[in-house]
Amino acid sequence: MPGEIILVDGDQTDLGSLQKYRARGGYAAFERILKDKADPVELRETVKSSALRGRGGAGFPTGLKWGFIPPNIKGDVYLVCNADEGEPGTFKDRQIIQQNPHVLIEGMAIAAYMMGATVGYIYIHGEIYEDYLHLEKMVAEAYAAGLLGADIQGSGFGFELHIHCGWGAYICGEETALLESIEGKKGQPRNKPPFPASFGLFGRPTTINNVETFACVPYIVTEGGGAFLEKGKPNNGGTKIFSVSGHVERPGNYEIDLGTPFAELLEMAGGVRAGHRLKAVIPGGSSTPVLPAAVAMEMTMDYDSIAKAGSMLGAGSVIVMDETTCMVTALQRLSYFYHEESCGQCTPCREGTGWLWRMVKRLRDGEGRPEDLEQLRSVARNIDGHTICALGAAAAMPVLSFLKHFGEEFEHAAEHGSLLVTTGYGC
Amino acid sequence: MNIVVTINGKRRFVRDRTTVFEACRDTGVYIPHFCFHPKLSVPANCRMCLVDIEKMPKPVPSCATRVTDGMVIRTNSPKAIAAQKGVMEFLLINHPLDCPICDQGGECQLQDLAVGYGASATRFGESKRVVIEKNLGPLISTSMTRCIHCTRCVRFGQEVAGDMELGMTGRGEHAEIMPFIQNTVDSEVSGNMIDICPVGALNSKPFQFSARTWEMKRSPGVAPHDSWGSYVTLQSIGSSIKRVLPRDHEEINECWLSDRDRFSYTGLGSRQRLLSPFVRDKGSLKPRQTEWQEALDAAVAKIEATVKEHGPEQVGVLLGPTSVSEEALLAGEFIRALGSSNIDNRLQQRDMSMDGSQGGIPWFGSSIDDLSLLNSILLVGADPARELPLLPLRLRRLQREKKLKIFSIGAQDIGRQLSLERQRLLPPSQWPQELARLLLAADPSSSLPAGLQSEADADAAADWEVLRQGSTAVLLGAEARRHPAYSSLKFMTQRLAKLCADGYDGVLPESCNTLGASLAGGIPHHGFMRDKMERGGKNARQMLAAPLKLYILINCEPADVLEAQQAHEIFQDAAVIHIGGYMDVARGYADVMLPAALFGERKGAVINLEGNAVTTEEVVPPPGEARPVWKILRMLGSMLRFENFGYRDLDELRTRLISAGDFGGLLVNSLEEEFVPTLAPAAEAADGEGTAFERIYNVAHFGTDQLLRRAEPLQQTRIAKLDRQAALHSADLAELGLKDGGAAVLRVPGAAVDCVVRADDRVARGCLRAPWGVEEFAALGAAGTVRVAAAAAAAEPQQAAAAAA
Repeated sequence: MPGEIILVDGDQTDLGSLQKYRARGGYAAFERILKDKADPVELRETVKSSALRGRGGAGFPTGLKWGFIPPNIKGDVYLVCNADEGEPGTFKDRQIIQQNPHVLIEGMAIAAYMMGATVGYIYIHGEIYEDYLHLEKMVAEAYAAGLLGADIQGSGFGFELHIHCGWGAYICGEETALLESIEGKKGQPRNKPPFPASFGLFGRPTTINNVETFACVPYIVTEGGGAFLEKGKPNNGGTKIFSVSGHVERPGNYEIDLGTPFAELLEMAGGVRAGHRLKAVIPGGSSTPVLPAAVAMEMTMDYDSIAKAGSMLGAGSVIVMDETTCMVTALQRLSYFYHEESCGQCTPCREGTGWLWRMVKRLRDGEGRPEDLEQLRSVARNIDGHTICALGAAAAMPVLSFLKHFGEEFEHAAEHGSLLVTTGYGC
Repeated sequence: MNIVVTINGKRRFVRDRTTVFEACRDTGVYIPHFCFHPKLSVPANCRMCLVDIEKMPKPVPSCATRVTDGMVIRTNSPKAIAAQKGVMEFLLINHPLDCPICDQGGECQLQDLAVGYGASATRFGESKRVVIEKNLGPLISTSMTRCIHCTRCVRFGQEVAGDMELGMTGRGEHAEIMPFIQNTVDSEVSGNMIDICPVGALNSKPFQFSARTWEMKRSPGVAPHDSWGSYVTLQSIGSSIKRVLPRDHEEINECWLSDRDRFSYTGLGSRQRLLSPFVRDKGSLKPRQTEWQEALDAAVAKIEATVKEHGPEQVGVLLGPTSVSEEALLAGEFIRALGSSNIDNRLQQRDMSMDGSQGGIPWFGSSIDDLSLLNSILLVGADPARELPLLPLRLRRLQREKKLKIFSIGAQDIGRQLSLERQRLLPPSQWPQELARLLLAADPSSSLPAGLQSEADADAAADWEVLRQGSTAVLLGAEARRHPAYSSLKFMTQRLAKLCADGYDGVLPESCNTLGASLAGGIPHHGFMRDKMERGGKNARQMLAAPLKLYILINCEPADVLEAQQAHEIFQDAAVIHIGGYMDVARGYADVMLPAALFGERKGAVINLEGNAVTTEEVVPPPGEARPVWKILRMLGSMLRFENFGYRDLDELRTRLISAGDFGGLLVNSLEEEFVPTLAPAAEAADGEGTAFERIYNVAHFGTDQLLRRAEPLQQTRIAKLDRQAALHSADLAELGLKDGGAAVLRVPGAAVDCVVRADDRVARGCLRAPWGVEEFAALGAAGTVRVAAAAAAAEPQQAAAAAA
């Protein structure tokens, strides 16, 4: 069931030019809005009725968020697209940019129209430099076709779109760190409140959304909020691209309706690699809690069901692990990532992420101590919720969930100084 | 508007729009914190002040959370305590356990809070982080491993001082506080970073390892250098001052202190200190150490002989810049009892033509705190950062809080810390014309100083439109005070201020007691409290232009006057009684050297630029045989059988000062109506080799008095090093065919100086910065025009570069 909204032909999607996108009806929605001088409030209501939720990880209702921008404000309002896709396991935005870039541009333009934003930024991370260059070309195409710029198609509405290439700091995917980075400062999250809707980029009201969120907008505007909602389930509208990686036969991006059972998604990805069985799933990217196989097989892929299962949908980055995986080693990899990517601004994260990683590493290296498990939990809890941004929680959650569901492997490591599962990568 | 909140179960009225932290603090509830500082922005990065607020799922940083009506705050609930203890553990895991050898020990916020919130043993079994030290210059020592990344130092630089000298580089555990590569911290107020550092990461280098905070006696005092009059605390053990720290005074220095005032105490223990009296026997080159009695006898003999042979008119007193009011009072009475009025404390003022025509002692014009009432300021010939390092801090604060508009006419760019509406960067000789433009824009019919031609232009008209509205101050800086046309500038600023809707004019006095010394009688044309003199004496310029037979130098050295080298020669030829703190310079010319007590070693009252009189106490006894100046003068006076010289202690003198009544009425900037100055034509440069430049009338930042010149750590700073080199605008430098750091020759009639010349685009085109107050440029004398040429020998630039490096 290839998705019909963004990756219209699944893996084979090939809309990497304005001409091809136009041929599939692209920009019709935007042009009609401009021509009809559609009411932005009504458009926002459409988005609200679609139950579109932010695709970047937090899953905040998009229509609600777009209502936060104070109306009739004097001066610039900014629209920012977060394409700093840095979480381990996430690779959907890249494919959108490669295969259907204009849906993002059109989505941003329509969103800008809804919020009265005049300037937009796409913040793209430095590791995918070629895709950044590709996107620059696509934006240039849109400018050349009169779809961006001042007074678009004589409508009186103008929208300038810039692309900002970051240099690979994971923290710059945090929305306020991203704003700091665009402003030319060191990417460090800001304290909230004030939220970007009132004090964002350059101190102006700003809305920030993920690539995929914007990419849903043309469909919603064209087909109506109801059509989008129907694809998913109540409160979980639309399709969602899941990046399936790990021990499956066909890793890749799968755009499916929200609410599809996990088992079905696993099936689409070819199932667990031959001869092995499912051990664990991280459903939403490395910062979301891990789930054991039994729990995962019961859930459906939508925000509410995954939350009920004890994890989060996050950015839809499904990491599948089979029985060969050593969970201690896996956690060590994850903890190292958060240790490495902590910005160092606030105390619990700066000091705690390194401590977590060192303890897990000791366990893995056979130098664990009996008190390590309780200490890991306690340190993780001391980080969680005490930091400026969510990176602290992102570092703590894997630790707590790995210990919760796979505690016996850690206990074994602490007690015997050796790993219980020795077949995995890196063991 | 007040709102009601509940703090730890108690209902409290607190101000609306305050933070939870402030609300708790104001109602007496302490919340542990590190990164919060009342004078800095709130980054909420230490997370120590996490508190528990009802209806909020997570603990929140109290410093960054605003109170709302009905808020229920718990600072000591299990949730809050757990959060605070958790943060404390994180802060301590990588913090070295070196409190016993840490200078911060005993006054360390981390140490204090660790007692309350830290565990008694660590759970951290990994290796601790080590951070490489940074060289921040001669004033700040670092132990960066102790840093807790609160970024107070970074924010101080960016927000308060206006110099982004430190930043946090790196990410996560690799985050480090550091200056730009290879740079040091070079601002005039860098020492404040030591104060605000809550741990032992930044400490005072001169103070390092010399005392423990609990061993020291604390005594209140007032800063001894600039006229801001910062309140300080002197910390001492026994007979030595160990440290000088700011004393909070919101209206004046807030909680800040300039490096000059903070570190100058290091000069007290200089090896050059004059510790006992010396006399020079006739025909001998070297003075001989002796007893007080013999030295006083010798001094009296000199005075009596000079008066007898040449008359009292041939005796003069030069009063140096660190003299307190009582010293000035007694010095004035002394010279007047002798029958002369040759006394002056204005050692660097060129234009004395206003003497006798001034309504009072020129001053700041308002209190420091009343700067907040201003809408705009015009600075003429001022370099605030160097003259009054705390003035730009205050102006920056006012620019942050309200739109204070600042204009400047000067030879140096002062936009480093301030945002300026307009800055006229011009050689000093053009300042009168430029000021006249503004005056004519304000009133086309205004009278101008005789001999001055000027006309208004569009810029002047635009500026006047801003200046005229609201409350306006027109202030003359030290470079204007040293200007040959000071009276013309003063005349015009006064006219201009009067034309403003609500304006006043004022000056930035140079040293800590400029006002006090003048009020007490340290000027030739007025006695104590502006007693009209029957017969005025000679001013400082006249005393040096036509050499006298006997000079009594009180805390004064050749480097304190404009014509340093000539003065040195004059002093060699004349008889000199040196009453001062140091012997290295004076031994070359003094016939009698009498050791004087300095800052912290003697009582005295000083009056700052706003007329705030503060008394300082004797914190430590004077070293060796040194005595307070007033005692020395009183002994000399008694031996000369002067009347009314029987003061038994300083309090008697002080009573005279105080009983004279309100001196505030004597601080008057206005000139008498009929006074119209004459603008002398700018001096033509003498013929000679090289291009003529106008010399900026500035004094080296760390060269303004005897104490600073001996403060070794300050002399090693980058500021001091650059002050010993000449500087030109890079374009001027290029025209001369010189490179930054190249060797140049500076020529004035009768003297040539070899020096290193730097490119500095803060210097106006056509100007040369070669400060007074340093040995290097002493030979240039008072000359305002200097010819600059590249040094002849080809090998020299390399040597110079090596020397500069």
